[in-house]
Amino acid sequence: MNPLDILLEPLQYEFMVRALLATGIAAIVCGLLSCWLVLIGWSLMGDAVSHAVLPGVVIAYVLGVPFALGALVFGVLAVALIGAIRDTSRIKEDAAIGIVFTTLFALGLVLISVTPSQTDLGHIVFGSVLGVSRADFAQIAVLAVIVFALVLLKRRDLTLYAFDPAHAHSIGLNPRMLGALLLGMLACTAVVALQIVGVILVVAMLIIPGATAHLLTDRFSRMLWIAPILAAVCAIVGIYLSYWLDIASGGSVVLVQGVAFAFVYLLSPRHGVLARMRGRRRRALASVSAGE
Amino acid sequence: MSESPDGIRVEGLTVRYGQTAALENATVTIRPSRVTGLIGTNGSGKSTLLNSIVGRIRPSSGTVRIDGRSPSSARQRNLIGYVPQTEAVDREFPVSVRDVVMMGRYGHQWFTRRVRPADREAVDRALERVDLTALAERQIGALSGGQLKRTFVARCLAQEAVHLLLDEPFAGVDKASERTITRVLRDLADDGHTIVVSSHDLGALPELADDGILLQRRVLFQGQIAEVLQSDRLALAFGIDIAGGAS
Repeated sequence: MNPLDILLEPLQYEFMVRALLATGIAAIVCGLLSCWLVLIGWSLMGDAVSHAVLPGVVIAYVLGVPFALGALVFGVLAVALIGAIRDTSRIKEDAAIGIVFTTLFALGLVLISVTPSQTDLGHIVFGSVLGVSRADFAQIAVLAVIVFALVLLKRRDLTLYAFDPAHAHSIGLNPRMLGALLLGMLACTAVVALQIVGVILVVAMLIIPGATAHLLTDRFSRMLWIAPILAAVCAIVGIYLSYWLDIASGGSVVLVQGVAFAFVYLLSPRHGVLARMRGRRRRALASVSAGE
Repeated sequence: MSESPDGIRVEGLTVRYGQTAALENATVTIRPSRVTGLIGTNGSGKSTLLNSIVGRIRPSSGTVRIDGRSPSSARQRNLIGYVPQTEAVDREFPVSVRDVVMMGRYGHQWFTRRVRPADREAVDRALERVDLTALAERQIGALSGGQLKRTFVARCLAQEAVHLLLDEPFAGVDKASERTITRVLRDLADDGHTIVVSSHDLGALPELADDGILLQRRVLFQGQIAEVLQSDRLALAFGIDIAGGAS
């Protein structure tokens, strides 16, 4: 088959065009946000929030309000509960995270099982990018634009918050507010991405691109280009693979991102494993010859 | 400097972490145009006192006034510069020396922190004062301990704060960096700034500090640095061995 046909054939279908656009948009905002999440060390928190939004999304579906609203409420609730358990008992944070997000996720599953029209909500758990409707797409686009604008406006403050919250505080910024802003955006992007890859795999899109970009550059400003572009390319490749190989779209997108990370982890010119090994051997050789 | 600052006044400050008191009923006056050394062992309350002045820690009782203002009001007016202990810094963070120093300008910048020419000039001047111009584009993971410390001092300079608090600025720092930092801090004090330096290492202090405050969960003594460094007073704070060595 003509290589061009591989790219063009799926575009005959409206649902595929929508799927590719939605995936690209979701990948870009998730990729942007992931830069801060991996540097602050919020990966586990991202995992927790993205699972914990499920009951919020189900309730929002039942009430007919935007998913993001329900997700925001339960995202904040999850973080508050985690903090409360950590601060008022002898339980450590990782255990608190594990307890809270699995319980809320379970609540979401139970709510889905008692909600009529289970098929729609089943998509939220595993993702169904090929089933993204016009209304879903509009919601994804609006949320993505909001997050994108906030990130663009406050990116320097967020980076300072990630790097040195004490300094942010001492110059009159409010680190709590910045943390809350990041958390709110995390809940919103979870909603954006969960329709693509599903609740379970959302966290991948919120960690892998930032982590991959961190291995490729020493400049945060470059990370903010690399992560979203890489994420979008991987996501679109994933959707095409899912079309041609007839495999699950969510799994396919995340798998491609994971494979890209593996390549970078091994081959990154400065921070890859092979480069590090070469550097170590060169230093060892240098010290041997210097000793002779 | 155009305005004449009052310095920092701390009255009856008590800070508790759970059951244990990190600092008890501390009253100190830190004067402008002078370098004040906070001296004590690890856990004597030096960082607690600095963090209370910045307002990062809420005291159980007592007040802090910076030029007569509350810590939060002083922060809003960009009066306080704070140089953290650098052990806690994430060295893998993808920022350059210049990026870090530019963070000192955020309090002067508008909402989105757009960089103006005045900010660039302030950053260049700060880098030059601590001899880091040549390393400006280097990622912070590739710096020595002393260079990293000078980076944070430069950030404080770029901030143009009136009162500067430095937590252990000489810990893990080479001699050349120590000299540079000492020189910069002396110049700032002569310019009218208030400088507070915490240290458990007494070596750098006689040359740098005018005044000293001896801490051991409470204020043991405060006065001119020569008086503070008298062996019997140090013995109270450190125990006989170290005092014998330092006197």
